[in-house]
Amino acid sequence: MAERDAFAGLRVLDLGTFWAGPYLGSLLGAMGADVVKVEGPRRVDGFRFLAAFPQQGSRWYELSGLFQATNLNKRGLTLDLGTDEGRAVFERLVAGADVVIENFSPRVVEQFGFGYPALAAVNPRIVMVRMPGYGLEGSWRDFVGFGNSFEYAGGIGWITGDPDGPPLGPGGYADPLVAMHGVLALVAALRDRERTGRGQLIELVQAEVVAAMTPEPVLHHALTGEVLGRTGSRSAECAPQGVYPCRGEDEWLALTVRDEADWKRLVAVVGEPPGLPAARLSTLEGRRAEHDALDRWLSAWTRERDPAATAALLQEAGIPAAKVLTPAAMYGDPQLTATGYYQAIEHPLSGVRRYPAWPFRYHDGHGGDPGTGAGARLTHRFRSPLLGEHNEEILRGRLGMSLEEIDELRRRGVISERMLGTDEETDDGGDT
Amino acid sequence: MAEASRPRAETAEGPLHGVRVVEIGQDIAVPYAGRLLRLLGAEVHKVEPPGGDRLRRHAPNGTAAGAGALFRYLNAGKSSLTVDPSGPDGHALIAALCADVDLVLVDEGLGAVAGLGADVADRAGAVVRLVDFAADGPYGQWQASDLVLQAAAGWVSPRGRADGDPVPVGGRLGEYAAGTYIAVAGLTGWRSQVDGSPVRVLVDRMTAVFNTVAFDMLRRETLVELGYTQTRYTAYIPGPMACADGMVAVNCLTGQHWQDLCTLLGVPEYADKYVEMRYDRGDMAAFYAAVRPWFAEMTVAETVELCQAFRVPAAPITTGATAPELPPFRERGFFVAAPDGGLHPGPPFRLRDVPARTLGDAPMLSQGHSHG
Repeated sequence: MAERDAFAGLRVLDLGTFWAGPYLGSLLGAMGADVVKVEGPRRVDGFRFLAAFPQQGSRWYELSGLFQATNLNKRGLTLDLGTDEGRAVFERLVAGADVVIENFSPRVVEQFGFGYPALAAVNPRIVMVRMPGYGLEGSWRDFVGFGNSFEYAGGIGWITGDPDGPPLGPGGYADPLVAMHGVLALVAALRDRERTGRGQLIELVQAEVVAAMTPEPVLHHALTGEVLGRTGSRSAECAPQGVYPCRGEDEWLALTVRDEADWKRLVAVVGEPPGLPAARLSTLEGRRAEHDALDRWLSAWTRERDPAATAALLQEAGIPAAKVLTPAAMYGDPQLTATGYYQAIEHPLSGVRRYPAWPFRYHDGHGGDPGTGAGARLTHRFRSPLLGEHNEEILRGRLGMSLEEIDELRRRGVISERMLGTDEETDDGGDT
Repeated sequence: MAEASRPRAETAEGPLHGVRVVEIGQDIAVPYAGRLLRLLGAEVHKVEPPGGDRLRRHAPNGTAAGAGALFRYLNAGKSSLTVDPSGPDGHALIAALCADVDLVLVDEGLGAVAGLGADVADRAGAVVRLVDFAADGPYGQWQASDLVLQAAAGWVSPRGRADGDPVPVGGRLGEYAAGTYIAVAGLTGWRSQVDGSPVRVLVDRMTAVFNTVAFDMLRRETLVELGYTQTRYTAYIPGPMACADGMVAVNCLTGQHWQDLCTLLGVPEYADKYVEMRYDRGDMAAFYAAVRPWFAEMTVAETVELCQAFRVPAAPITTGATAPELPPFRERGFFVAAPDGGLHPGPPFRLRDVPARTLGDAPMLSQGHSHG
């Protein structure tokens, strides 16, 4: 367990919804920031409705593991920004805050009257992180999208999948990566503020972040006129390389032969592929030409084998190989569990769950063992909040409001500890 | 006058002006981290092996002299030092360089520079090591490849045709992900170094990649408990659809999206079937047969406009040819002309008052001396 203080003392208002915005807030909280998750009592975070279903009971919107995992290290506040009272409270919070995060379609916060100029008028030192899908300006400004859409728009979908099959987007991996790009820009903006005293507007356009991480197709086309397509599991530089079926249902092994030395190692383990000229297979070119035959040969070898044991056998021989990790095996994965990646945290309504921690391990004066380099992992400080769980604590502590004033807000539906009637209440759940 | 001109000078210099970074690593991960820091104004010194970063020779236009397009994109605006760490004084020279900077990023895995590990940076304030698999787990000594890392990190299993093999993510997104995480580890480590004590961080590729997976283990717990089947789901429904002039991805994330889409497509009989279609209880084949003609008659632009009017998330599936022409990229000038005549993506973040400056070209290969 490691306490890191990169953002200690930082006050963050997190209006984030779904994944990219909230995930930024969660890391800031893990590194010491005081993060307040702000949700509308009628318009709650959309992640609450994913991997959660109405048949789980009246408070099903509290139970999504996706919502919980993305909102660790925060306190919870509800505030209806569609009301004058809600906006007034938010302005007072902004006056005492350092950072505001939002990742709605751009018009949402602007309709509430909280674009950057408005926030800067209240607090010139505020740093606002906005994450529009396609930009705060331009003809696509109001288009909706999610990580998946931005992956296709940014170019990674087209080059993912089999050559003879459809494009298959990654599946939302862009969201946390957008959040991490946000951390970098935020550290830079805070340093600028320390020197100049001025706040900042940070614009992270989600489709642009994906495109920045997918430069190859555009670079290639601009210089050659060729359009890069899909290659499935294959690589121009390594052969054979593929994903091969193993014993059991949905069990697979991935392996890569990087060079001639790997090829010799593979033959030493599996034997010579029958009916193929050995001389030809000693070169990358030859193995690429025979890739279909090599795939059939390897599939026949893997089909009745255990994927984990086979990966270990190949690795023992020095060949890159791994069992394809499926959702069913994620909690039991030997590498992730041995390195302390999961963190058990108790939630009042869903009990103890094991959440992913962070991929940062420290082995310096603050923890860890410099000898082994194992390191103390950055962990979560505390569980995700229930809807409006810290309404009183925040409104009293931050704004000095009386219980009577808070009750009045509650009576008017400006704050609530239960989701108030809305179309989304009838949303029939789902999954990302 | 001097007072008045100061903010302008800072604007030109970038918010991380004065932060000095050394990157020891080739290929994508560490250089991408360096690029992100450079875009924010840090000074980035690149340490390359004697033959240069292998991306210098990478297609489509790589040469031994070192001007491959991807190398140029990743290393624009950096200085480069090429030293043989096994030669006399080579190691000492790099150690001296590292001792003098704020942050050192070192790849000891797929992008390692032979002969150089994080020990060269013993005297630096903040050091981030990137390895393939963490040494204290059972995979600690494993060999890696891009595919093997993706497989081990949960990126392969959810994707592919239901009747085919699972497939990895195309391109090199895992390397960019690892680079992003080490940049975060480095910059937050640098920021937390208030008491002057050194910060040492380890990031492993497998966990960095796995950290982007959409909480599949948590999701599965709930689905299993409630009796839903989870199959390969990455396409989302309905997923990629063929239009008259290209492909569009329509991804319904909620029941509301699905209802609105069904209304738009004129198939109201499917509107209340989101969950059953999502979890393999509905007849997706019949649905596709019913709606394919609608898409086939429309252009990508028309489809996206119409779907968006219904607040349904739809996006064109861009290629290397069409991405630069996507309206938001074109209107915002996102792709910029590169010195080699090509196109580069611009900065992935924009700070209103301290915009990223043009980085210029990547360093040419030098031998035995710093080149700025």
